[in-house]
Amino acid sequence: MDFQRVTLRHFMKKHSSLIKLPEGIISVYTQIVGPRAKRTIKMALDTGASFTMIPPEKIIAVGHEIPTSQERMVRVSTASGIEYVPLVTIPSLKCLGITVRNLKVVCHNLPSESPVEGLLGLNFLIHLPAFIEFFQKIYRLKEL
Amino acid sequence: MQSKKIETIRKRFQREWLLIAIDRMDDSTTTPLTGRLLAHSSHRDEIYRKEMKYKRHTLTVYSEDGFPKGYAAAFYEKA
Repeated sequence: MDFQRVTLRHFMKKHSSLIKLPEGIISVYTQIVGPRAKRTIKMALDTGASFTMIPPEKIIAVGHEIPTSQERMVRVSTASGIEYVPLVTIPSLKCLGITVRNLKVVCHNLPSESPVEGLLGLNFLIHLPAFIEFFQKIYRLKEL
Repeated sequence: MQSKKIETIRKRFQREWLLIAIDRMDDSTTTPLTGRLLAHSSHRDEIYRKEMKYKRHTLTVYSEDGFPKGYAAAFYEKA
């Protein structure tokens, strides 16, 4: 246990100066393509989010419909409570050099004070080679 | 209207949402490089309403990079 703490502290000390988050978050431009149009939005990388989240207005703008039936709504646990939101499968989402097809996204708005419009959640990040490497390293540290 | 760098357009505004028609993209990183401003507003909903009429590739972006003073991010979505 002590060894684990020392190792983690050593790792943080060694690498913390290399990581700078000027915006407080890691934001990236993402492209959504639909049958009607193409949209680019700024999203935050969120390893705490199981699903990718996109504003419903963007889903409509690219040409998809927002489901209203109970079966296609999901219960989402957010920082401020539980909410029922629509879950939509979008044909493609492109970001950080990769395209993920048939991605399930949660349709929900972040507060307008947020400088990003959506969240790039784990269901997208698991396709990203850099994230897979990050994930493996985190698990290696956990095992120490 | 002349096409300008996205960052140049963003710097002209303070705490506003911008609707920009994208002219040039870096496809390898999905980063919009140049575009033309179509609308700007301090209300995001207004920008969302306006963007519905555009079929071409557009970008909605806030003029600021960070959160307002006193705000911090705590995102969490688990369906």
